[in-house]
Amino acid sequence: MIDILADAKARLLDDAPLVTLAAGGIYTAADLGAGGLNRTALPGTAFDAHLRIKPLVYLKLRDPQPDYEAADDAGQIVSTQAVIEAWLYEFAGYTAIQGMANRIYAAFHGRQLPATLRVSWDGDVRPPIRDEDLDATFQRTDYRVRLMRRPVTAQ
Amino acid sequence: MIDINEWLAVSDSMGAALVEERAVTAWARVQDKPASIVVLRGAAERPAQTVRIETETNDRSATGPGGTTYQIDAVVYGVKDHPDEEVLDTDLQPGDQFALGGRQYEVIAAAVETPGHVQVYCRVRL
Repeated sequence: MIDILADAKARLLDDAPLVTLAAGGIYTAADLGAGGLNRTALPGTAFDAHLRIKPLVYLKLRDPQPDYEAADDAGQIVSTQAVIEAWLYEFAGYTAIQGMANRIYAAFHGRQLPATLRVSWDGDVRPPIRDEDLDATFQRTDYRVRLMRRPVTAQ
Repeated sequence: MIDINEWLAVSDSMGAALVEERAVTAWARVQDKPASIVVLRGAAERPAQTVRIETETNDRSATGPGGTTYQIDAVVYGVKDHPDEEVLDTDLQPGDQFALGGRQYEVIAAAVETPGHVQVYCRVRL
């Protein structure tokens, strides 16, 4: 079974500078459970002794949508695109966030993941507000991944 | 008949003693339920202080893009102008933060000043 987020996380964990920058860790929803990021789930790793958030990366996947750039009706094959959202957090400022975003760009843009075609940067979103609940500044950086959907032969 | 001017004069002369008396009782209440906290003011740690913390019952959850967190309000009680010089004035300002028992406290505002007492309102993040 394809697990794009697990592949994406593995790619990021291979990047030593990013792992250093993201001192609070690199996570997917599978790591965090239903509650997501909070001080109860990750007290000692994602938060420091004062319970301030450390710089970290939280990967999410937006569901694939067909783009029909390639299609084979007879074979029931269609091209699709999904988006990996990398949510970047730090306690204050954007220094670590920008550094992490730069490393993620180097890890993803113009490359492939094991189960995908080309991955490309799809823009950043930096809301002009603070996440008051996590007490953090944050930014989202998106990467579009291209896939081919084929009939599933084995359930 | 009561002489209001005389009463006021006596009251003024007792002002300092009254503050000290209230500080002593405030400190006694802190000692009933003491908590030692180290406050972060910006990036700098302040010396440890002993205070009393009372949480309220209005806990609430907030779900943001990162996940679900829980918050509750609290009041932190301290002391000032205590006659014992070893009992230092509680030093808390809006924006101060401290961690205690797996919870992050952030001072939101100071309460109205009362003699001998320090009270601040906090947001507690779980």
